[in-house]
This record gives sequence, structure tokens and C-alpha cells, in this order.
Amino acid sequence: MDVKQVGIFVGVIVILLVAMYIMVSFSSPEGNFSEMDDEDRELLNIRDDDFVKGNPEASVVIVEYSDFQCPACASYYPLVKFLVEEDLDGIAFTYRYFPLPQFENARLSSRASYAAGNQGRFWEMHDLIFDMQDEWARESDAEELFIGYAEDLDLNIDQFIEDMNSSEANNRINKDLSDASVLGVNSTPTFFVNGEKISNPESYEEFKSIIDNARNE
Amino acid sequence: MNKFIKGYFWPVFFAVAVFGVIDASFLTYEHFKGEVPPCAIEGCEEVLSSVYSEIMGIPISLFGVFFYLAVLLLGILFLYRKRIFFLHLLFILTALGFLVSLALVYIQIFIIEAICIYCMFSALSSTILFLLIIMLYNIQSYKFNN
Repeated sequence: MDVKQVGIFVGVIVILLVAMYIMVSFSSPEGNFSEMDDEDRELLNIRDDDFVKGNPEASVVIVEYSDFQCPACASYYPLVKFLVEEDLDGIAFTYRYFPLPQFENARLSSRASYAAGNQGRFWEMHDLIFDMQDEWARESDAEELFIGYAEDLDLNIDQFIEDMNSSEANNRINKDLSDASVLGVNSTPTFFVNGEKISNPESYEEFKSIIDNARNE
Repeated sequence: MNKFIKGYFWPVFFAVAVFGVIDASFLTYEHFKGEVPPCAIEGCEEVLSSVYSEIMGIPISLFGVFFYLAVLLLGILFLYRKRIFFLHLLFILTALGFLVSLALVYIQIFIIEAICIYCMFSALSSTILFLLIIMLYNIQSYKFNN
């Protein structure tokens, strides 16, 4: 091989890598978050209709956009639960709906949690739905399973079924979805801590230090 | 045409194959990193976490790494040993790679309905390799027949 051939060899590799890099960064959604203005940030305050765990007045507000059927959300759930329950006074945590189109029971599970929330048992249902994800995720008649969970929680079943299939439940989910799209959410789980999107922490320590930093700011 | 073969063909061929190794290795690394990928509306995560991303627990990208390494090796063997046998092997292998790429692109677009750019570039490089081998094949058989 002479110098020219080595040049061609290296050049072709570099061109392909650069082309790939450009296309990946163009299709990457990360840029959207920097364009968030103050009005958008208000979407990340605790709302009256949010299901809140912890202290709604706390200085640290964590908003999670999540999908009950998403495996990554299920794997984050115990970590978040532990973090919040460890500091119920210092954290306000709210779960918002971001059911993904590729999961057939994503919306139904969201509606089931909403219906439980109407009877004041959102978090119990939230935990149960995540704990049992393997059971209902691929079930074609998952509604029966959710009714079973509602029975386990001693809910008023008729009311639960009515709420689960109500337009209010759907409206609430649609509201969360449209807020999420303004905020640039396009994958789950997406966490916002005090109005800032964080990249998903890889450990308890990492998440804990993000929360501590937010508190000290 | 012969000038192209002499000066450009092999550097381009090996460059595309090396690029394929880099790309497929990156995807394999991502697969084994052990994190649960987030669930996304569209994009790589959805493709790479789909049931189509592995066969019997082995990520398809790892097959990709071995494919590009085999193409590299056969290319070197053919270049230095000048035996048409290696070209036949290259033809079969790259044709297979092309067909598999077609299937994977089809799965991305029509079944998963999400595109992973890294996977698309791998499909592109295996297509280029196949086209280059066809080109070489034509020239070689022309040479052998005359």
C-alpha cells in the first residue's frame, strides 16, 4: 500500500464515521431540553391533580414521566421508591403518564392506577402494577387482572371499573402526554428534578447526590 | 476500470469492512453494558431492546462483528494468495450479509417502526461490500475467461 491508498483507506472510514455521527446527533432528541422556557418549566410544578408522594411543599420536586409497561421504568421503580420513602419530608415525588404506543397495555394500566387514585390508593396500585408487570404486560385481557389488584386493595370495584373506563382517566393521560411533548420527553423513564431534566442515574448514590445538590441550590 | 481496481478498490473495501467492525462492536458493547435501556417512542433503544435484537441470547450485532472480521480476513487472503476460491467465499458471505441486512431494515421499518442509525449504517456497509464484490467478480471472471 502506498501513501495515497492509506489516505483513501483512512478517509473512507472517517467519512463514514462522521456521516453516522451527524445523522445520530440530528435524530437525537437531547437538544430539545435546552429550549425549555419558564412557561414550560411551570409544567414541572406540582399540580392539584398530581398524585404526590412525600411532602408536596418540599424543596425537592421530582417529576417522573413513566410507562407502567416499560421494563426500564419497572427497574427504576424500586430505586425511586426507596429514595422517596427514605426522605418523605424532604421530597415531593409525582408520577405522570407517558404510555408508549408500542405497549398494548400501557394506557390501560395507567387508567387502572388513575381509578385507584380516585379512591386515594394511587401509590399502592402504582407499586402493585410495577411489581406484577410480568403478569399483565402481555395479557390480552389485562383488565381482569387490574380488577383483581383493585380487589386486593379492597377498593370499591364498581367505582374502580367505572373510573378506569372514564373519559376523565383518558383526559388526564392525554394532558400528561401533551405536557410531556412540550417538555421534549420521548423516552421513559424521564426524570425532572426541580424543573431540570436529568439523565437517568445509574446508581442509588448518583440519584441521591442529584437530589442533595438540588436541595442545596 | 483496472486502474480503479489497482489504486482504490482495496483501500475502499477494507475501509468499509473496518467501519463495519467498529460499528457492530459499538452496538455489541452497548448491548452488554448491562443497563436497562430506556423505552423510547422511536430510535435505537426501541430497536436494540426489541425481540429482534438477538437470536438465542446472542445479540445480532455480535454476528455482525464476526461477519465483518471474516470479510476482512477473506479479503486479505484473496489479495495475497490470488485464489479465486476466496473470492467465491467472499461473494457468498457478502451476499448473505446483504440479504440479512435487507431483512433487518425491513424489520426496523415495518415491524418495529423505528430506525436505529447505527444499524442502518451497518446495513449500508454490508451493501457496499456486496456491490464491491460483484464488481470485482465481474472483472475477475472477465480476466479468467479471456
